[in-house]
This record gives sequence, structure tokens and C-alpha cells, in this order.
Amino acid sequence: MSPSLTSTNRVVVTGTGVVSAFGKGTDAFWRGISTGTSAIRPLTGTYVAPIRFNNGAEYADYVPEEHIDAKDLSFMERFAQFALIAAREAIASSGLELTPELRESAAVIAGSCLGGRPIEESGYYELFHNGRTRVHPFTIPLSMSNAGASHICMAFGLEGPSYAISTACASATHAIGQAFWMVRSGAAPIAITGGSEAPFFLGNLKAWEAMRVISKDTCRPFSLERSGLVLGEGAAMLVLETLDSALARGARPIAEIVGFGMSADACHITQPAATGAVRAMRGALRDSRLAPEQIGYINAHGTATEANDRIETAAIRETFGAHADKLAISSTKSMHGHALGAAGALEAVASILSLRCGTLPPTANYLTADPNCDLDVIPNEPRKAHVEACLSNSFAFGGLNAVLAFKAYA
Amino acid sequence: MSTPTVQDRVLKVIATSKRIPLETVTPDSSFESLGIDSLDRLNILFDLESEFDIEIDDEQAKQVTNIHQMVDGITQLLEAKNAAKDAASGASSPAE
Repeated sequence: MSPSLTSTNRVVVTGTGVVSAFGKGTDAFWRGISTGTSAIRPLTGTYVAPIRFNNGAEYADYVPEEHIDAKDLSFMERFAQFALIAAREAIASSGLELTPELRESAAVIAGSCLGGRPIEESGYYELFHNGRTRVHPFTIPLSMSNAGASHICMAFGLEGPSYAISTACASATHAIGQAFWMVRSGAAPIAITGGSEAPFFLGNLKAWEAMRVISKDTCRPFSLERSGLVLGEGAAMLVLETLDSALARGARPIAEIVGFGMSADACHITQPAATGAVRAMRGALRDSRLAPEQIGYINAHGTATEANDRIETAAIRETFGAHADKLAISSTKSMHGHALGAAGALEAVASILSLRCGTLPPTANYLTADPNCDLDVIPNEPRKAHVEACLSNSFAFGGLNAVLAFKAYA
Repeated sequence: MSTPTVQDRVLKVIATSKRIPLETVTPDSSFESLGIDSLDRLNILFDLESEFDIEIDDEQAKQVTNIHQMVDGITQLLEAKNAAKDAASGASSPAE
């Protein structure tokens, strides 16, 4: 019997794929963050203008030819390559057999903030600086933010609903939430979802430099010495399916995805407001039907800007009341960097594996407690703890908030 | 007409950037009274860097809480820039 659009299936994650500054693969990513290792390093790129900061979380030894067919490479910007590599691993690790019926209706929802803008940058440089009169003929298909989603669809013959979501630093969390709701409602039987980002190109680095929110030091979330974010790159993809279909084919769910909440601050284009964050967390809790006391861990947005970490702390306190002091919280951005439109997907994988493995990744690079960030932020050392459920927070510039809730699958 | 002072130029940059009448901006105006928020500050810093051809460090910028400090900071940066220029021309001339 085909599921109706009003059914409320239980939805589980059965596969993950990651590309990050730790290299290719979920294992490399988890090994890094679960041991408190930061992948933030001096930037390796050569740029035609000086940049006022030195560090980033780059996949520095990435060689496209080792991962993508030569015939496809000229049609894929770095962010789309990352999306496909992560999707490939996610699908393989799920053990899912993509039958013709599944292919016809599978959803692919992918987040990206910047898409393939480097091809635009190089084209504009030729136009404005070198006096050329034309740009590369693939500029549009390379740069469009939905290219990642489209390449995943083409590579696996997935023909169901597919689109890209661009909500700055919350893109991937919004994407996963949408995909979750589609599978839960029966709108799609399975979904490949996450986000990808490749932000290391001069125009973008200059734009972040001008915002004056990039740390010249490293990323120290919730620490008194925090001085801003550090950019990261990569992708993460999840395979979502109903619990029934996973069990029917003998797959072991990694975790259950149980709630999604979103909100808009409607306040300021860059300054976060606690009220919006609170409403998004409450929305995710309500959607999950979990009591606040069942949450044991929050993978924080934790950008290490002065404003975010202070406001996020206040928002968690308001949402959880007395239980806030029993929560463990960490920002894994201290290790994989802020991967913008991929951040929420990397952090979803961090959240899911925390539940599965019983290890909570720490907030790395932590020095001194800040009275304005007075929660248990798991400083520097990973912690063994089996928690029942967790949240993953993403709060974007523009005041657009998205929060996912995951539950351990016993 | 006399050459505008650093302070005159700072006031003008603030007024232009914030799109408010120049006469409403005085050296004693607080950022708050002018309605300058964090994004306005970024914009003003950017315009000041262009006006004076200097680079204002993030950490230095964070310390500035009023217009007097802003004028002092820019004056120091201009002095440092001129000193560097003098040193460079001084070092190269004897070799000629």
C-alpha cells in the first residue's frame, strides 16, 4: 500500500557521507571531531590580493580527478563535486538498493549558500580586468546553487522532487528538515539530503573580511577569547527513509530524525535575536513530541562571534529553563570550521554519530569561561555519554533559524 | 577655504555613510544618538579606510566607542603611514 500524504511515518537516517577538512569520508570526519582535533590550518591558496586573516578549514589535498569522472569534471564546480562525493558515500553506506520505483520518486534536497560562484569570479576578472569580451559557456550551469542537487539526481537516476535551499548558514538544516517532512508525510519514500559549500575564493574571502567577523586567531566558540568565525568547506549528505522500509530490508538505522523547527527573527539582517532562536528550538521540540528533559546534547550553531554565542546561550536557557544546566553543548565548528551552507549537514552527522557512538564531540580551542556563555560546553575533551536525544541548531544571517531533533535508535 | 581637518573629514564620512545631515553630527555625538548600529559601523569603517587610504584593524575598531576616539585612531594611523612613507623615501635616496 502506498503511504498517504497525511501519514506520519517514523523517519530514520540509514546512511551518511562527508567531505570535510578532515578529508573524504564520514570515518575521517568522526575520528577528527570525536577526538577534539581541529582541522583549522593556515590557508593554502594563492590569492591575487592580501587577506587580513590566515586560517581556514580547507580540504587541502583534494584532487578532483581522484573522485569525479574526467568527462563530468568540466561541468562541476567544487561545491557540486563535494555534494556528489558525499551523496555517493551516503547511498553506499545505507545499503539501499535503488529500484526503479524508488528512483522515480526519491527526493534530493541540498543546501548551499554560495553555490559555484568561483566560475563567475574568474569570468568577471577576465571581463573587467583582462579586457576579454566573453565568459565561459558553462558559467550558468556551473554556478547555479542547485547544481549539487542536479548532479546527485543525474548520477543516481533519481527523478522525484529535487531542489536547493539557500538560507546562508542554515541552508543544510533547512534542506534536511524539508526532506524529513517529505519522507514523514509520504511525499517521498526516501530522500538524499544535506548541503555542500566551497567558500575559498578571493571575492568571498574579501566579503567575509569586510564583515569583520573572521577570527585572525582560530575558532574558539563560547570562550572569553573568541574573536570570530573561521570558514570551512565540505559537504555532508544523509539518506532518510521510513523506519518501516529500513527494517523491512534489514538495515540498521543510525538514528531517528524526529523534529524540525524554523523561524525568522524579523529583526536585523546580521544581528541575531534570541526570540527567533527560542521559537525554532521550541518548534523542533514540539514537532518531535520530545519533552525538553529528554534532550541531552545540543550541537550549537556556535560560530564564535561575540553576538552569536552570547545570544545562543540566552536562547538555550530560555528554551530549557532549569534543564539548561544539565545539557551538554558543543560547537564542532571549532574543528571543521564554518562551512556555511554545508554547516548544518556536517553538524547533523556530528549529532547523529554522537547518539550512535556515545561520545559527545567537544568545543575545541576553548580557553577561558565567558560569564555570558555559562553552559556546559564540553571544553576541549570529548565526553563519553549516552544521550537519548539531541538538537542541532543553525541560525543564519538574515535571522532565519532552523533546528533539527534527533533521537538515538536503540 | 582652509584644508579640512581629520575631524572634519570623519564627521563628513559618518554623515554621508549614514545618510544624515552633516550638521547633526558633532564630535561629541554618541554612536547611539546617531542611530549607528553594528552594520552602520562596518559601513563607516569601510568608508573611512577609503577616505584616508588606511587599513583599520578589526581589534582596533572594536575599541572605538565614540567619535573622539575614532578621530584619534585615524590620526595615529595617518602618522604611521606618513612615517613609513618618509622612511621608505629616506632609505632609497642615498643610494641614488
